[in-house]
Amino acid sequence: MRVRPAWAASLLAAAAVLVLIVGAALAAITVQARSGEEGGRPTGEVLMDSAVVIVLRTEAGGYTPLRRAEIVADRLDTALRAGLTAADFRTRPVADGTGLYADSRLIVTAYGPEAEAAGASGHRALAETWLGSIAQALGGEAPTPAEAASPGTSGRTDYYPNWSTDERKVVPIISVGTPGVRVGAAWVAGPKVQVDKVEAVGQLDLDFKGLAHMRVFVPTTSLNVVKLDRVQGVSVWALADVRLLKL
Amino acid sequence: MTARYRRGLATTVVCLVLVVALIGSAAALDLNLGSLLKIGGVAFIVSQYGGDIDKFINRALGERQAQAMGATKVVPIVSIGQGGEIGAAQIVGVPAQVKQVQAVVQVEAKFGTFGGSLLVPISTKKPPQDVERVRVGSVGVSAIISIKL
Repeated sequence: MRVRPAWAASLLAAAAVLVLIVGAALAAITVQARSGEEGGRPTGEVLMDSAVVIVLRTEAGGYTPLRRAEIVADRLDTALRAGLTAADFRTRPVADGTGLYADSRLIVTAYGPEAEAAGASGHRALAETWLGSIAQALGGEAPTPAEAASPGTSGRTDYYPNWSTDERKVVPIISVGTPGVRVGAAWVAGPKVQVDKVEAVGQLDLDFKGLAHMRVFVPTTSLNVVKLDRVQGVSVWALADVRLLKL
Repeated sequence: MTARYRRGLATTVVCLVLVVALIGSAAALDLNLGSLLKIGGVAFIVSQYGGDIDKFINRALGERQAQAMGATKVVPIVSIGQGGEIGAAQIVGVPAQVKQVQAVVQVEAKFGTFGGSLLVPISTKKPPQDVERVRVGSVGVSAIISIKL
C-alpha cells in the first residue's frame, strides 16, 4: 500500500484553506460611493456591487450629497465586514427623521427634505426603501415594518432617560475643525456615571445661511475628537473665561 | 406769518422734540442704535429661524453619529447685567423639561481661581434676580448661537 508523505497532507490542508479564503474574498460584496446627477442637480449614490441601494439628493450637516454617500458607504462596508446580514438592518425613529441601522450602528438618516427630493411619502418611507434595497443586495429579506420599528438589541431608547446636572467637572474644549487645538474649557454636568466618562468637549463650528454662527458642544470620551464618541446625558453647564457675546 | 406757515413750523418743532426725547432716552438707558438693532435682530432670528437652526444642528451631528439622545430646542440667551436677548442657545435634555425652558440666562461667576459664564436654563424670558427660583433641571446647553448683525 502506498503511504502518502506527511508533507503532502499539510499541502492539501493549506490549499483547502487558501481556496476558502479566496472564495470568501470573491463572495464579499463591494460597497462604494459615486457621484450622480438628477435633473441637473448633483447626487451621491451608494452601491453594493453594481446595484445602487441609496441615492442622496440633499446636503446635510455641511456635507454635499457625494460626501454623505462616501460616509454612508464607509459605514455600510464596516458593518458588512463585521459579519452583519440583512436580518440585522432595521429602521428606527430619530429626532427629525428616521435612521437606518445595522444592529446598533447608524448607517444613514432620512430627513424630510431628503424624502421630498426623492418623491417619497415621508422620511420613514424613504428609510424603509433604503432598507429594502440593502436587504435585496444581500440576498436576504428586510424585516417587516413592525419589526423595524421595535427597539434594537442595544437597548437604546429615543431619549436618554437622565439629563440631570448633579455631577460636574472641568474639561478642555477641543476644536473638531482643527483637531488638537484647545479653544477653551467647559464645565460639563450630568449623572456621575456619565460625567466620569467625559475627557473633553468637541466643538463643532457651523454657519447657518450667513445669519448665525454656531459652536456645537459634544462631550466625548477622548481627547481625540476626530471621531466624536458622544457621552449621552451630559451637557455644558458653564464656559470658562469666554465672552459669549458683546453689544 | 400765514396759518399754513405756522402749522408747518409747529409740526417741525414737534418732530424735533420727539427725536431729541428718543435720543435722550436711549442715552439714559446706556444703549446705542446698534445695540437696539442687535437685540431686536436676535429676537427676530430666534423666533423666525429657531426651529430651522435646531434641525440644522441635529442633522450636522447626525451625519457625524454624534446626535444627542434628548429633546432639543433653540431659545434666546439673556443677560442679567445687560438686559435683553444677547444670543441664542440650543438646549438638550428630558423632553418634559425642555418644553418648560423659555430662555438661558448667562451669569458671570467665579469658579475658584477661574472666571466664567454660567448658562442656566430658565422657565421665563425675563430672569429675576434669584435665578435659581426659575431654573429648569435636567436640561443643559448643547450649542451657543451667535447672531450675525
